[in-house]
Amino acid sequence: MKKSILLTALIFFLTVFFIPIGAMAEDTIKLGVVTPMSTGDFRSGKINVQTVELAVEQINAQGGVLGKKLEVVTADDEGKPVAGVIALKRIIAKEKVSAVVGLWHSSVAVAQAKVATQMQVPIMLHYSWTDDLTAGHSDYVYRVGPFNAEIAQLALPYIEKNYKNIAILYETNAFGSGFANYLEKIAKAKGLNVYSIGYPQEATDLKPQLLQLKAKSPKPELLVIAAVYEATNLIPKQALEIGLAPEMQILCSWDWPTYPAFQEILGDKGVGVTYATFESDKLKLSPLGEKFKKAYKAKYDVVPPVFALFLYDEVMILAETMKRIKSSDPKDIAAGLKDTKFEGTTGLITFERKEGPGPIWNQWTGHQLFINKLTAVDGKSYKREQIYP
Amino acid sequence: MLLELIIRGISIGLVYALMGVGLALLNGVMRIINFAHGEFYMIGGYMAYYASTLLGFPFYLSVPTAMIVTFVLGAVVEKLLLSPIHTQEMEKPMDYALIMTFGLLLFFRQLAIKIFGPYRHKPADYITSDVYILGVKISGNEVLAGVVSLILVLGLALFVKKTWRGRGWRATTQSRQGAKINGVDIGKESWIACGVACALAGAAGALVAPIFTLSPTIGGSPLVKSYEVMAIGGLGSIAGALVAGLMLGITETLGAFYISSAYKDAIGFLMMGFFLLFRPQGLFGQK
Repeated sequence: MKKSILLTALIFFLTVFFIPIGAMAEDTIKLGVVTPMSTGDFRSGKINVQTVELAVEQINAQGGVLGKKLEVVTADDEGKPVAGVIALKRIIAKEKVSAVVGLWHSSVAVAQAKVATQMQVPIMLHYSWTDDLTAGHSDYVYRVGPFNAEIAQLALPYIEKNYKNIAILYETNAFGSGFANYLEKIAKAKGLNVYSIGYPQEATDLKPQLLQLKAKSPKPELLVIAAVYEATNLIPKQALEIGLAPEMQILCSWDWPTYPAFQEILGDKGVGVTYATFESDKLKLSPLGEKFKKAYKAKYDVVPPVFALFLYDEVMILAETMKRIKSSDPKDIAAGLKDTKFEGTTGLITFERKEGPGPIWNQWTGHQLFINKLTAVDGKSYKREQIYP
Repeated sequence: MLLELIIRGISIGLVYALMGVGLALLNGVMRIINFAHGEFYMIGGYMAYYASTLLGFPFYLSVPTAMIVTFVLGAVVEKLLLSPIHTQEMEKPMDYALIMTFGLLLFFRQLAIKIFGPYRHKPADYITSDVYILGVKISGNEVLAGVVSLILVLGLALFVKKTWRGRGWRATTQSRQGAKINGVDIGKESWIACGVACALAGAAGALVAPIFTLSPTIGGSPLVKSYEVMAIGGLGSIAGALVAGLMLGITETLGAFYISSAYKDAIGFLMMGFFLLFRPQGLFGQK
């Protein structure tokens, strides 16, 4: 008897103290943010959390969704696939979130996309570029952000206009191989001569690969670098050292030359390097985009990076979808998202679905890509000039 | 192009030799393999970086600074963690060292992430201008790394051959028991040899820091190259390490160019496999 009383009391205390208040109250709709917060690219993770908090604050100030407040629940994926999967599973199972945003590293997001599909909760990707993420054609994976094949497609007119012989040096991982294979295919279709060489992502001595390019005839006039890891800054440096550049122009597949490490490693030799980017003063913002930019600057005292715009769009789309379908159930949201027509921060957002293999599935394809050139050293950074479009 | 490839192969091969010779020395004197050898390369690189950026040292001061720090660190590691090998007369010192140095590898790597941060750094170029060798343009840093590596390897060989301490190390390599009977203080020579081996790895890291730049995880590849050099050259042989380093550097560079750059690292493994199968004592090792 005594034992059962004690057991009942123990269960009562455990229930009261350890079950989250939100789960008991159920007067909020939970939105999950799974992003790197301690390791990996935690700086971007911080911006992700801030962006979602700002968007939710604005939504709640206007009455919330379906008569309830939106609540942000965060989880740290540490920029690692295993930790990312655990964080996502926990936030879905324990916190009962209606949808998840903020996913970041491609390699982590690929593993998380499988979990989301399995647990039938929609995830939205705002800056994870790997084609594989949407190529799985899951009904629970949506992407407002750009993707590899799109970047290659958007950069091709610039490449085609200025060069006949190009080389692609790429990391042999999901990001690098995906980008290189697609660019090679579409560039060859346009009649360009393409040399494509892969290397392991941990490589630091790229001179053997660069020497192979140096010996090619006809010589490549442009080197496109598809890298994320160790070799990002080393390839331009080593290309200059062996005399391949600056005669051969360098185009980095994203905007890592704007990071301080590039200037530290290349110094004034970095002048002349070009890079593809979604950031630009000439990026056309909608009234919503201008409003968000102003609010973000007022709250955090910095101008939001371009990926924050896409993430902000995603939170607004989720709120709008829940209102439209009158449900916060994850399965209903996933089904409702495909009918999205949302005037976002940089344009009208709809999700395309192309049957057959390919990454265009629940994917927005209206991004604006720019090519910038570093023109002079400017303290610990560079002056840059937009050369395309 | 062939000449350019050979010159580059020699330059990188001399750095491989510098890495391998430290490992070979440690193996000879202490009969162990140091899995954290690559981490001393990484630490040496960072020391040179901070010596040049914070203290404004030129290369002829920042490289020795890196060597002094890694020497002290190596000696402390031997005293604190590896000395039980000889003080307790272990039957299987290799097993003990394997576990201990592997733990050390993980410890140094995580510590480096915490202290130095995850991002890449690079000290200022030691030599800013390019050098022309037989008409081939080579960066001044590469030439410097090759030349200083050669000087350090030859210096070590001379030291081992001509000094009393060097003779003690050679005696220990041949017979630990015999060296002891003849008055060699194994404990003392072990920490000094460990310090020297780590200082050589630190020098290699410092010399190539402006070429390959720095991150906390750079120790892995040089560690593998050190093993390959030691296996090809022969355990405990300095001359073997020098020849093996050059062979590895040149073969890798030529193979990457004429066969495929995708197999660059596989070439070293193939060479090591060949020697282990057909000449297990290596080029200059004893059966």
